[in-house]
Amino acid sequence: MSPIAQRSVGVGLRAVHIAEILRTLPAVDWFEIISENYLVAGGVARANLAAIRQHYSLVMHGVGLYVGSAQGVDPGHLAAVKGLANELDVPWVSDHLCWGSVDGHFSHDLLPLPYTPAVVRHVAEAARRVQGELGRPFLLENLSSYVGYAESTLTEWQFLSEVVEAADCGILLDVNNVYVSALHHGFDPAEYIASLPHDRVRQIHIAGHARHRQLPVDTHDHPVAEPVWDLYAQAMALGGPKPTLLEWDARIPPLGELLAEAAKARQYWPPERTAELAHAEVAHAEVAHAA
Amino acid sequence: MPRDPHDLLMIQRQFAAALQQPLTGDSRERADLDAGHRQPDPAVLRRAEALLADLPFSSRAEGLETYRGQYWYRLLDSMREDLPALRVVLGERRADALFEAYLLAGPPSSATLRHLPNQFPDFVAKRPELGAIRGLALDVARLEVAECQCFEAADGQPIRSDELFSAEVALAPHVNLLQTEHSILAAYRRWWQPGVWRRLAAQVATPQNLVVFRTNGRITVETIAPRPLAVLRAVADNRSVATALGQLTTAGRLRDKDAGPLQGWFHHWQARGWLVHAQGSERGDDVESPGDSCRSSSAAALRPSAGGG
Repeated sequence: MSPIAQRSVGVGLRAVHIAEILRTLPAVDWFEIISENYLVAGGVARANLAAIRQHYSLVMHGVGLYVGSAQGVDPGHLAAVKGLANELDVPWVSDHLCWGSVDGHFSHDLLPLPYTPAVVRHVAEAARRVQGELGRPFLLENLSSYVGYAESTLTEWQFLSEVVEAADCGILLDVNNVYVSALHHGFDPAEYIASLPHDRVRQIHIAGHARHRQLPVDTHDHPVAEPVWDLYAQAMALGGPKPTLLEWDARIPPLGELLAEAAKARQYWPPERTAELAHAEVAHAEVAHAA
Repeated sequence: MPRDPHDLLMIQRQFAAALQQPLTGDSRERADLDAGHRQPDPAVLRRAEALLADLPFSSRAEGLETYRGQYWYRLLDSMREDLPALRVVLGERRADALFEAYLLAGPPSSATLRHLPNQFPDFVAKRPELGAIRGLALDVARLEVAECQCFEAADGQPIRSDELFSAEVALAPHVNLLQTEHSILAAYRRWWQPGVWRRLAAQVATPQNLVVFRTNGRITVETIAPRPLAVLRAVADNRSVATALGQLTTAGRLRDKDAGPLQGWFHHWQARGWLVHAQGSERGDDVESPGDSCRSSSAAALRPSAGGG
């Protein structure tokens, strides 16, 4: 198992950077890969990944398990993800709290779900099965969404919290997605962050977004926006430092620029001493309560 | 509210049906697409919109349009990226129309976009409206899709020279044999120049045999002459070098004078890693090498490297 420190920053492994990474071996805590880019057992992509794996820890982030699909998770796809996770020995696997395929047709998008108790049960059961099959922690990431369903009865943060509690899995908290969705749906992103079970947050995504007709779109093609850093700081204050990953998928900058942007995350972490004291206080309170 | 997976399934089917409707109006601005022959079915869009709620700054129709645009641009961008030479052959607008028609005919059926163009050559082959350019377009589509497939194909375990006559042999998964209607390789090496394709289209078509393969992590295309191609195909079909050579000799397609070239062909194929152990027949490292009889084969000892870097 590859250890990933709580106080660590990674970036997404993208094809344009691979040659430079292997040549220069830059100081990066870890890389996150898109699972679906590496599911074929062979080829250039897998050869590159094997070379990267010799030098860096990796985590796997999926875009195709579709735990919210009404027809269930595709067992063949799950088996391929499991095989790759075993080969890379990643500490966890993540994917999105979404659906994206139906009747064998794939949207190649991350589509939102109706937020209802019945869908909580359906998705939680799927996530629990995925985690069991993988045999390692499974994290669900919140989406950026541009539609809401007429029949939703829960807020998005209630839905996310109830799913991960029922599935006993973790959260990959994407603070940019919280911000983007907040502006579309008109909710308070700080309330969203404050309402989450932070003990279940295992990883954080930060990213930039573009604007279309004044509203943000989750494009991963800009530096992280100031309001998103503010939400990140809030999450750090509430849950402590977590492995943090900068996503940048379009108009990808040079590697040095990407790493510099990712490193900004460190500015928002509480000092280690403060965090240790906070933990000590919690431990003391728990002991006192038990007594 | 959705009470069970059946309700959720109904919602997802209606949403997906809306995404797959052809693009129109503002959606086409970014891609500069022509209005296609097919228009979206308003009833399909209305059914999907009925599932949604208006948001503070956007209507349910605008929200759905955002996802419809994302669906189409992601898929069209993927097709454009995989088939750049075809775009030059056909022109951007005609290529986009063809990509859109392909995607309307069959929505993606794989979780990875890398598989998206796999059926595209078959689709092009059935498009009479492409007229005189169809044959050339098909050749280019087949070559570009073959390159995509070679990029991610598995490596296979290379055959050593001393195993050549004893092992069960297969063509490496990252090797693709093509026969094109036109001799396209020279033009393909300057694929971004429209003039080379115009000149080729104006010439009488001359077939060409190509091998698309991956070696040391790079995709390469070579021509192959008919006689070595016949041997290579026979080896792949029979999964045995000895059987293939025996058959070709019996059929009079190989003669004594071919011994010299044959050695060179096998040397070339092994150097490029085209021959591997057939799946399921890989020898373990603890298996001893065959005896000297295989060393008398026409192929020299070479061990091709798998893709990397």
